Amino acid sequence: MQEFFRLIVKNISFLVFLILETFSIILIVQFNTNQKRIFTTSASKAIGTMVERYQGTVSFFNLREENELLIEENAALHTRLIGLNNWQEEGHAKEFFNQQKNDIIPCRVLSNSIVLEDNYLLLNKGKRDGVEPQMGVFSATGVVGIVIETGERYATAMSLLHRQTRISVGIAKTGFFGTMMRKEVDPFHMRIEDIPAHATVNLGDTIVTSGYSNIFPPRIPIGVVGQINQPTEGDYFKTLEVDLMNDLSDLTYVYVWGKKGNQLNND
Amino acid sequence: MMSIAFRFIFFVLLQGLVMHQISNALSEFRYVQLIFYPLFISLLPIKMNTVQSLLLAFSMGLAIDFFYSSIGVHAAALVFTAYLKPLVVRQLQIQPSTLGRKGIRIIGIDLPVFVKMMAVLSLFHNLVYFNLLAFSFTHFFHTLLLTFFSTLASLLLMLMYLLIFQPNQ
Repeated sequence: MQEFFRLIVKNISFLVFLILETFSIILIVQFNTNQKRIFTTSASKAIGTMVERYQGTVSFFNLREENELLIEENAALHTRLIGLNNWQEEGHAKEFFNQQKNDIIPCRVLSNSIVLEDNYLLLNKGKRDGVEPQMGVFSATGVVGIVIETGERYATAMSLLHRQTRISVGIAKTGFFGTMMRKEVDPFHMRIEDIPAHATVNLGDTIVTSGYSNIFPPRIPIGVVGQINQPTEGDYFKTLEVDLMNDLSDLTYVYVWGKKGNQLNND
Repeated sequence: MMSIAFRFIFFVLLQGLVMHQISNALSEFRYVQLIFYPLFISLLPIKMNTVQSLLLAFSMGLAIDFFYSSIGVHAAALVFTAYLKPLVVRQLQIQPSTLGRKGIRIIGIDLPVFVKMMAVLSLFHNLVYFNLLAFSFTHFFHTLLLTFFSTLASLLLMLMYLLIFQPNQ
């Protein structure tokens, strides 16, 4: 113990130096937007590489489960393909594909959180793969978040569980729409405002994206109505509470709704 | 002690108000910024306790950061400079010169020797400062040029200050 204290006293100036420098650099990253942006992109690059290695090893042991999920998803895609094939017989399919302005970029989730007030996801695709800020992220079971920052090989997306989340959503059956936002600290429910008072809403109605913004394609499922708060007198809007379909704590593969042609331009 | 406190405030205001404004006005010469305040570290007594000078450097850097609204950048650079100073003093074998010789003496050190130390400290300070400002090595060549020309311009100003005020305490 005495040795320890002697060591500290001997190197006190170096210690003070280290503490002050660390503190300053925390201040720099905290208070300067430019440096903060550079720090987050480089940090995500470094951490991304590490997590990717680790997951590469670990995912080997989960192959079976992943396979089952992929098969399920394949099945769903096939169903849609069959629908399209039927359409093709009418001769419209080519036109349909040409008109599609978007590409779906599959990504793996490298890190994710749900307990914070503002949660972020780290994805393993970046500018190189055509991922850009303001692109929507969704998984096989529903909406996940929005890309906000992209590096060369990695992207950071803000999760649905973020205080700044505002997603234009509609009720699948009737088409009434509103804005979905975060409900305090609850990771399984969201809140929808601006549903007009005269709209008929039932418990259990499906909520989907409206497609009015270019961030998400229309009719991606989000959740079901779990609670309806009737407007107070003098107010013209209802507030709905949504039970999310997606378990945001358990995400491995997600899709980014990107613009078509981005990948080609980069090559 | 009083002179150090007075100089502290004077340098913060000089850098934060005057030098900052001049640097902004000079912004068409992309490679010159006037970084005058590292002279404060050079002017601290060479026998001073490093912990004290580190704390002084941090508070001064932070004070200037508020003028520049770049919280932490000047502080980090100046703390680095303060830590570097004893090493430079040892490396250049700087000692208070003996009495009786002619020439200007700054805090008991012959002017040429003092200027040498001041130049080294200023150069390293600016190198750290501009790199922290850029916070990435992508434009490292630009940063180097900025460091070089800013150091030259700032050193001229510091030399003028030394010759006019001849601080000897």
